[in-house]
Amino acid sequence: MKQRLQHLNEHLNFFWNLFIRLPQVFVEREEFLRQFADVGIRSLSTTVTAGIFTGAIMALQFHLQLKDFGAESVLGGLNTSGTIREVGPILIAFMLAGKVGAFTSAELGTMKVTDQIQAVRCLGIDPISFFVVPRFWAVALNSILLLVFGLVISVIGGLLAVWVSAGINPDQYLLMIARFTSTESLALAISKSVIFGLLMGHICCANGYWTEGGTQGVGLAVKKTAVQSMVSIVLADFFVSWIVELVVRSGDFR
Amino acid sequence: MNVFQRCADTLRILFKSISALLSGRTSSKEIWKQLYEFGNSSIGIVVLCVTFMGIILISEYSYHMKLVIGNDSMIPGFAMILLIRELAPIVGALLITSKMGASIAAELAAMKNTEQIDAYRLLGLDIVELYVAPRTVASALSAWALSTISLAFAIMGAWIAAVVFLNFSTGPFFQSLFVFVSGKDLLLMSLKAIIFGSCIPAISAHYGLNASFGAEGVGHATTDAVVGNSITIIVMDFVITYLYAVATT
Repeated sequence: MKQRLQHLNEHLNFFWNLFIRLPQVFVEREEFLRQFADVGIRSLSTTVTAGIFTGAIMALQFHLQLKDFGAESVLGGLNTSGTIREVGPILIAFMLAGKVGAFTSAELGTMKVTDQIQAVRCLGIDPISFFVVPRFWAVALNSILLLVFGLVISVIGGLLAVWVSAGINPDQYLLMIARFTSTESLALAISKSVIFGLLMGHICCANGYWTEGGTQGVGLAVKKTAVQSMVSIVLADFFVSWIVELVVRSGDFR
Repeated sequence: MNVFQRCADTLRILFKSISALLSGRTSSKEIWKQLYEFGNSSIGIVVLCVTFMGIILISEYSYHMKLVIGNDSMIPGFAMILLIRELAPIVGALLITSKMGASIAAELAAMKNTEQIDAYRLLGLDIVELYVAPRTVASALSAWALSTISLAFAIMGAWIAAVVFLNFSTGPFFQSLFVFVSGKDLLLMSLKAIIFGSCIPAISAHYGLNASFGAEGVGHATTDAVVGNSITIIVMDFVITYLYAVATT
């Protein structure tokens, strides 16, 4: 237990360290921009695929459920709201955890085990500021943007799926989106994206930077990144949903 | 390699391991060992994640049902159907991917780097029969078992959340659950879990066996295995759901 708490403390320290070095991004501008473009371009196709299929799966499922009640007319609103509030962020973040997080972790891990990080330290440069901070911010900001983009794509995927398979009227589908998707839901989706992005950036950088033990260590670091990202994403999702539940719904804010 | 070559190679590995299993060339001892490894290593995280998903789903559904219909008496059935048909198999398979799929790819890539795979070939042993086949059956069975076990925990979690936070009482909760959830849904879940589970080792092995040299190669192989598995799982899930939707109408 004490060891776990110590580990948590290390994680929090590392995160805080990266977080307050945001100005460093402007110093390492070139590295940051290169990472940002790299991560974005590499993950775009994954995000689009994940978004389209998540939206489509949810739409088919909701259609199956609503059909029995003759409530197909509200499908668009219900599906969009349900996907962007809850299932969309989780599933798209799972995909990005593999694509963005694990990749960065592998890259940093390779640098660590081939002693590139030590070499930079020997030159008198702080490896965290030089390697890790630009990557952390590139991954975090990119994940946030990609998640929001994926959610937009998921709306299109859902529309296409039920339009083609069930002959739902697309005009009505789109009309219902505006009726049922409240500003609060959008804010929830975006805040979830921000939290997941920061979490993924932190986990991949920490595991990559702490890699030990040669070639197999890199594989282990990637595995750890994927597992930890997925578990922490689900837990964070739970807490965000629950906090919103308690704050927005029990207090009479609406 | 392009996508089609990758698919062809993965299918080749999958069929090779299935035929090795059917002809009884794999040792049952290894299968039991892998079953223990797969189930034991992932049961904690799968149960944790699916339970939390169940609790989140029930609160989200309550919000939506109040918005659309104005009462939330049907939400246990609705939310649990979504959990059974989609989220339990998908989330279970994704977690097994990141836990076991990544380590299969990393291990095979490391073996390739140290030329152990060439050594096996030199001895006349086939790495797919020896290494991938036991993992294929272990992964399929444990994906099925884990999604079923985690589903039970998720329903319990959702029940407690509904009673404590949504003012449900126990009777109506389970009544609504049994009105909507049928054996067909559980069959669909089992089918999905077994299909996803049996594909994970083949896909990971494909990336591991085609790894390039050095620590970088291992990192790339592991990452690509996780991504390839995730994408395949979600695409296959869409196809199965689509066929199910077509079949039921």
